[in-house]
Amino acid sequence: MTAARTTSSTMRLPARSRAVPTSTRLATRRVPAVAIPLLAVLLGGGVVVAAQATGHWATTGRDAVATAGGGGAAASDGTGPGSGTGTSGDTGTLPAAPDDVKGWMTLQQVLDATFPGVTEAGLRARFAIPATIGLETPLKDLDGVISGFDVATLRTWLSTPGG
Amino acid sequence: MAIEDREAALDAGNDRRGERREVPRRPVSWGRRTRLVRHSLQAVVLGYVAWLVLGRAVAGGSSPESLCPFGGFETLWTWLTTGRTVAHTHPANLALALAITVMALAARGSFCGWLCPLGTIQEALYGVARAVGRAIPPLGRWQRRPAGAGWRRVDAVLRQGRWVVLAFALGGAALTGTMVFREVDPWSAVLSVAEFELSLAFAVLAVMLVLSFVVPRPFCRYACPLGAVQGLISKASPLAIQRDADACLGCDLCTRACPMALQVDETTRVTDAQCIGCLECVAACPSQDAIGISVALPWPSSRSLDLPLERDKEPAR
Repeated sequence: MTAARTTSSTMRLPARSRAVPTSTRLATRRVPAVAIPLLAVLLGGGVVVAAQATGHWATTGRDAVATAGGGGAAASDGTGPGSGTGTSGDTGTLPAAPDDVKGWMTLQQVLDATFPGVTEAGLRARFAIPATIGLETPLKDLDGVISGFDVATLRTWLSTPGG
Repeated sequence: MAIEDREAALDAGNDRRGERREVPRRPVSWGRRTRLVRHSLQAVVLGYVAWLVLGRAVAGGSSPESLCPFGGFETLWTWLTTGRTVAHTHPANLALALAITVMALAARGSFCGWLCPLGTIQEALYGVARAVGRAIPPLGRWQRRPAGAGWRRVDAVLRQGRWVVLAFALGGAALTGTMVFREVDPWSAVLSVAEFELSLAFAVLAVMLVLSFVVPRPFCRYACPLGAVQGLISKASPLAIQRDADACLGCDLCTRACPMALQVDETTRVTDAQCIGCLECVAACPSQDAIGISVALPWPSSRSLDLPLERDKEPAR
């Protein structure tokens, strides 16, 4: 269906319009269409900026644990308090509980956390980790290399008394 | 709306038949400008994600997954009940989930239509297919053919898939404490494309990319759990696309332009959970006043007071 063109700024509706009637019981008011992208960008960006400004923004577990270990908003990042001995790892923090163990953590950090009954020998024996793999290896690098090893299984093992 | 319903509505309600009224014309440049702004925003977001993916592949660093809003929804239950986030999610995911919630409350599915990089990829592929269709007339005619009743039924059923995926993703994450949807998530596959390995997620991504040449935004329509969440939240939004029959040509260009195949030309206010707020319907409409964005105020309008409200109808005897 085409509308007859009258001027450059107006047009004539066809005599036999096929438009489906409209009605709404709400009081509605037209707003500029630009409201959609403006609200999307301003509100979305605003929440992100607010999260960053208030310390509720972390894109890696390292940031989160570092924040927690530094006495910051531990609860906000959901990674727990951290024990923060500062003896190993590039963030100076250690997992406080098995659930805090993250894929970026090294074997050394897991051992330094002194979970009850967990020793290097026990850890290597349980997951058949060869001696050629150093303690500085991140856990996620073992995932897929060591058969039967993944962070979730390690957490479960660590939470069992005696390892 | 069924054809017979539409005919009945036209017969009953269209009292300006036979009139030839003049209405303001929407400048063609409006649509061009809107598309330019939208595609520019989409390109910026997609470029940023590509930069993150490449940066991680080259120099390590944080995973782009930490910038996935749906990860925030997946980890929300675990975070609320234990104070921890599930693996692969971080506080940034939660902040982005909040951002999506706020955006959906204010501007409906605007994230999908203006920012989502996965939607951008699908749209771009469909655009390529349309361009090829313009160069090869038989293909173009096939692309422009009206959808048959059979396909519309299949399409309607497939659209319910978003709720199934949403239940699987959120329920699975809450029950297991892991991101079960990640194994089949095409977005996860896109983010790990630099370290490609054959996985179910890559298979889903491949199917989605192929389908994108035929169906606009297939993942958004049939499987996106983030779109489903956003659709639910957006039900509370006062902003919506609204059509006015007094200025409407009844040409259905709006419906044909809608990437989510919503029947805009048969609707007064587009409050469908699948509306992504892309404004393609507005841009396609030649009549300035026929379609636009309106905010709904929480009281009946004077022009609708003549309509019988449910409570005013006589009770059945």
